[in-house]
Amino acid sequence: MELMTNRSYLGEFELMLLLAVIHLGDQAYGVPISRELESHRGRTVSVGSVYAALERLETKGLVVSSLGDPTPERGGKAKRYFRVTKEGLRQVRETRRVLTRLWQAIPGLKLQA
Amino acid sequence: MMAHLTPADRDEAVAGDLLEHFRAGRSSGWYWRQVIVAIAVAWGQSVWRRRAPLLFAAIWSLLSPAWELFFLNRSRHKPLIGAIWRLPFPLSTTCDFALRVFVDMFFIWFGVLVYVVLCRIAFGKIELRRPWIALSASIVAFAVASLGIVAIVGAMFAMGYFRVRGVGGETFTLLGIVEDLGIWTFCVRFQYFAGTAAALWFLSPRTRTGVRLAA
Repeated sequence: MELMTNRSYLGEFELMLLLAVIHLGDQAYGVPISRELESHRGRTVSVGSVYAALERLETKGLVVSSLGDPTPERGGKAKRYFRVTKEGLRQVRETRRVLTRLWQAIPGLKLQA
Repeated sequence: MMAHLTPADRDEAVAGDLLEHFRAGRSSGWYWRQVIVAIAVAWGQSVWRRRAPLLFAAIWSLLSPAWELFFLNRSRHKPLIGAIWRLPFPLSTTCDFALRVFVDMFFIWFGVLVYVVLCRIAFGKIELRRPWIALSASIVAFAVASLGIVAIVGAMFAMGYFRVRGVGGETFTLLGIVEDLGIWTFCVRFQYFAGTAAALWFLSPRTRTGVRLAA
């Protein structure tokens, strides 16, 4: 059985961010990422927290970012695009595998509505 | 507002995103809440990144009452101080003030040197940035902290809340004053913490070293 002893675990919010970035592809910058999270979570997301978490992911090497051109509708400020790295994809797949195994181990769990 | 209230190592993308959200139909209340949170998060991140130098500044400032006591005891008997006090006003006050600033900054920057040496030993090469800004910031931070302390302590004295033991140092040894947790030692430590923390804050390298333009 493969062990995850020497790897850092993804937090809940970090995992959601990575999935949102993967889903958005080339258009993964702050606005669509936060909208994607809000639509799935059903509550407001702080843009500052999104960037803070994305910077942590970038430090860990799970995403890379690059600045686009400034646009007038953004007050002349550039967009920062994010892209998941190979290591980021690997950690997402591994987290999914572990979570799936854990969920499958408790088939009798009944969730209240 | 974000350009002025967030640390200098934050980029413009967050501000641009908030503006885009607002122009897409978000409310003013939502926008200002996001701005406040973004500023708080930015500062929280910057403080967390600099936790080692800030912790060092807190520890180094614990020794500052001993430095103040050492200087007070030594200066009384030095001909330099006597010569300064014999100068005509306002030259005497100016020279005394300049000497005090030099003594205070000497302790702070000796602490910075100790920190740099410790980092060098622990991590090898260390990158320092903006030394002149760091020097200016440490002087300003020390001065602002001093004024703040004077204002608060003066107000509390006026209201008769407490009395401070003699600050002439007669009742303290150097070790004893380091262990002391009284108001005077707290005030001294706060000033030196502010100056040392400001110096190390601006000397620390920014984390975002550069960005690539999208193809």
